Amino acid sequence: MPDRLGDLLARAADDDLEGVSLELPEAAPRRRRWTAPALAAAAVLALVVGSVLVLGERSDRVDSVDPAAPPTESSAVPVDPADMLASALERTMSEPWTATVQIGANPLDSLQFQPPDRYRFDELDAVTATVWIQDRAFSVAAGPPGAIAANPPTELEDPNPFDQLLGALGNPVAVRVEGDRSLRVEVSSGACLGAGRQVEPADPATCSVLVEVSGGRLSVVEISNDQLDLPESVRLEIGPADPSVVIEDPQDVLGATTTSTP
Amino acid sequence: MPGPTEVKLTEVRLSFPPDRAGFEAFFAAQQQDLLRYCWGLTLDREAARDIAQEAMTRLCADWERLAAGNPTGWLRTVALNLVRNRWRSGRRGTVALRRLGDRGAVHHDPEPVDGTVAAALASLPARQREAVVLHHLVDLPVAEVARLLKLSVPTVKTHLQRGRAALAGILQLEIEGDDHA
Repeated sequence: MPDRLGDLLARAADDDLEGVSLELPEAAPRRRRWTAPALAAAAVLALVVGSVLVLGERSDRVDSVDPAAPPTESSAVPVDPADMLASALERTMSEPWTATVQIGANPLDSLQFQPPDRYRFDELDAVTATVWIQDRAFSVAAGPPGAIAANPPTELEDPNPFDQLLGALGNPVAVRVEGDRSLRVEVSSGACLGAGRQVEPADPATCSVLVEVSGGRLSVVEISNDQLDLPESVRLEIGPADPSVVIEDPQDVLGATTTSTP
Repeated sequence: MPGPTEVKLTEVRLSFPPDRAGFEAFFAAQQQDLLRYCWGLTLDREAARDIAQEAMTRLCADWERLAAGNPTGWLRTVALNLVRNRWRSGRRGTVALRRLGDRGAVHHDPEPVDGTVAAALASLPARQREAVVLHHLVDLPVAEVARLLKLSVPTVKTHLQRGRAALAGILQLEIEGDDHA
């Protein structure tokens, strides 16, 4: 039963909502479903783009910051984000990466993505992503070699990630830097789960994945979405397939130049 | 190698869900609670109506699949995400305006009708407000609030205690704190 505070709140709500009612929704066309190739391509792109920002940050920092210097916030050398993304995408996609996905208590499933010349983009088609750097958004294309150079990242004039994610399935991925060592990756929930296991594609609404960099690996530490039928435990780890390309401790380099976000 | 092409999507069109009557009954039973819930999170009647309508429309579109589960909980989760998305978008817009030096910016914070209770609720931090609304207005148990907000039960209790204390101070009331689990 509502308590005294509940009664107060309910009365205030009812007073303000007087005359407000909802319209009974008409049957709407069901949202578009992802085909298997699109799911795979979007999942790969989500992982690639998630890696790209970290690698891009790392490379920029390694080139421009004295590792012995104490880390300072917002000490980044000015780099045009579009240039950084383009070069980082090219660089990342020249190395094979492995993504490991665990859903609930199920055994690990692996998904390895190869450099573009070995990865069959000609079957999966190219995809585009919206990449967020702080509060600026860029449209990025991924695809066969040359695709990025032919379609350099362009800044979006009126970015609204949520409208884009929910309404425009042509932009299935959004990545934002959150804090010094975290990325917020937003993909369609279908794409998210489709990465390593055949799962009934859920409604392609927002699936928010918080990725943290630690010990040379990217780990998903939080996953949330607006669907209740997803497994409660979803863990996804990304790491280099070849031990020879193990990332140096990103904590040392990422903390140096990334502006902290509360 | 062929050049990049757009992702191919399959569009599936469905007619009315077979259990249309079931949805209509659910709609009639839940719309007021949903509106209250959205109002508590936004403190804005127009925003509350928009978000509740959007959540209900999404539920309708997938009623066939969701009806067998927990459609009420699904609605709450969707509405909460919509509120948070709206807040983030607003904050992003604010940042952009600040960068432009607020040229031509028009500020219009919603003016709550109930200047006492709504204003007091609006003064709480977002997490405290969400916890208070879910527990006291929607009457959800603390454990369910914790699940919905993806917080631990002790954290929710802390938010509730602080939120109640703040409201009690503003409203000059004694507010009981029975955090029924």
